[in-house]
Amino acid sequence: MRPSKGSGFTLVELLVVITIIGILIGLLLPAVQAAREAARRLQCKNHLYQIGRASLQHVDSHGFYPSSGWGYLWTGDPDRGFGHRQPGGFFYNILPYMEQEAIHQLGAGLGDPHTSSAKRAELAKQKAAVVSILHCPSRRRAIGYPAIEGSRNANMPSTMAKTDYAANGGTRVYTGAGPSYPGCLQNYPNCNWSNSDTWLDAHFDGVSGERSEVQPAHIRDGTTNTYLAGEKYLNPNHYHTGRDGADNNSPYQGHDWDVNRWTRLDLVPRQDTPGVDTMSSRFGSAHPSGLHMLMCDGSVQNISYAIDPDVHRNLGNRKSGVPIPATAF
Amino acid sequence: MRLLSLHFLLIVSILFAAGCSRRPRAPRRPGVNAAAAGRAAIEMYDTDGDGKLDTTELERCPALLMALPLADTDGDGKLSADEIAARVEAWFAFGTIMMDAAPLVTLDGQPLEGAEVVFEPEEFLGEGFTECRGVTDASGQARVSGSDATYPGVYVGAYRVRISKVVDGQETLPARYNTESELGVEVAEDHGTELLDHLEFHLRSQ
Repeated sequence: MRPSKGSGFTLVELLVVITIIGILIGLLLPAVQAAREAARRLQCKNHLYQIGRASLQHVDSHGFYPSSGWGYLWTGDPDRGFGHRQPGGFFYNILPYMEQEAIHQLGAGLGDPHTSSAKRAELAKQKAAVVSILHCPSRRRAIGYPAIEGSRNANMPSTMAKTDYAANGGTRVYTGAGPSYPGCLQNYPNCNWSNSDTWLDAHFDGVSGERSEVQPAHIRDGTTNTYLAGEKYLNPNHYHTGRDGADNNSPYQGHDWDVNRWTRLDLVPRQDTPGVDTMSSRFGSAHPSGLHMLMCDGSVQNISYAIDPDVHRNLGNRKSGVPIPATAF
Repeated sequence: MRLLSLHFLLIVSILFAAGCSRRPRAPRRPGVNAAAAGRAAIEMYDTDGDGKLDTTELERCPALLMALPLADTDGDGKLSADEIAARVEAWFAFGTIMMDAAPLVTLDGQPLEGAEVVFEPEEFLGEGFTECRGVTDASGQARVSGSDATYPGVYVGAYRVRISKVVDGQETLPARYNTESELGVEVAEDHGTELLDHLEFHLRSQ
């Protein structure tokens, strides 16, 4: 039997080894995390790129950028086409162009949702249908989240799909191309609203708003210099609750904080910060290095959180007439 | 001794690895004693001495009047000290500490430029809250914020709103909008988007 003395290692040696391993992990982990974040950031950028491709196909098919529908009380209706007659919003309108025709067509041919319970049930399935492209992987998983806000033309699903992106509603918060809530929202089509060029120019400087039908010719600052959509800000305390007023409905609803954001002067983009800015009107993202914005020409730009507020506002305005400095991106 | 320092190193390195998240830290929640705030509010505004604040009494505290429908849990149309205390607790229970505020100020129907808008924490809340201020631009809109540049915005809470426009050392707005302000706002998540993006003060010069 060998004496134990002289073999093995002492407690101190063990602790030294553990400490060294600990320090190595401490040095390595941030690098690994940064690499993972870089990959997620790239994936997020790709998602916006695909949303851009789908939007441009929508422009090819219909002659105008996807409309943001009727307002937050409504979800998409496959029997109402595209443009101002369609209650569903931006993301509902691009579904067929991103190979999600099946979700877009849920409930098709079942008639008026006010009288057809079958249709309302199918539209509830639509509200629950998760599309991974509509999520930023740095923020949250592409799964259903608690259902909070209902729609007039659909039943309440048990869980609801979400999106981490939002269409550009211009520089004025919630005064979309359609009439402001509540007048026309309830009374459509008997309301003081027009889709003519002059009316659109006078009342709306974004690209996708209530019942908007903005054509490429309306983007007078140039499609390269105008936001089409981007990442939306969200308070991290509400990533999974579904209760944030700007994230309490599905991606397919009409014009609302959930699916539209604005670039008013004070609404500079911001990185998601716990406890801050619930019901946000601004663009923003979970990425530490800045956010991605999709331009009307389909390109995706990295925008710094430190972007000049004036430049950010002008990028959100399709007819600002102000040149965008080359250093903006 | 050496063992101790080794342990220390180990713990520090693990903490370093675990704490290396790059998400910004949450702002600090304002310190407030909810029960004391409830009692103070009753003391300040309960003129008829029934221990509760009805709508007439609440006219002197517009922020609480705004809170009434959400804070009146027993449905008697009045606020008790307990209901106010519960409401103060509820502000922070929603997961929001700060919100954006860009109120619109008009004078006789026209956007008012160059007016200073001050959100002054209601006295009954004690000392824990921060005063926020902003100046209206040409469109009449003011970006109201505290002085901490890291966290622009307004802390959830109850505020007295004072709006003044001083020209050549003279206050041009009536006292009911500044020194004797009748304006107020409750900043809380459950008021919905209507609150902070559509917060409007329509002043009249007469």
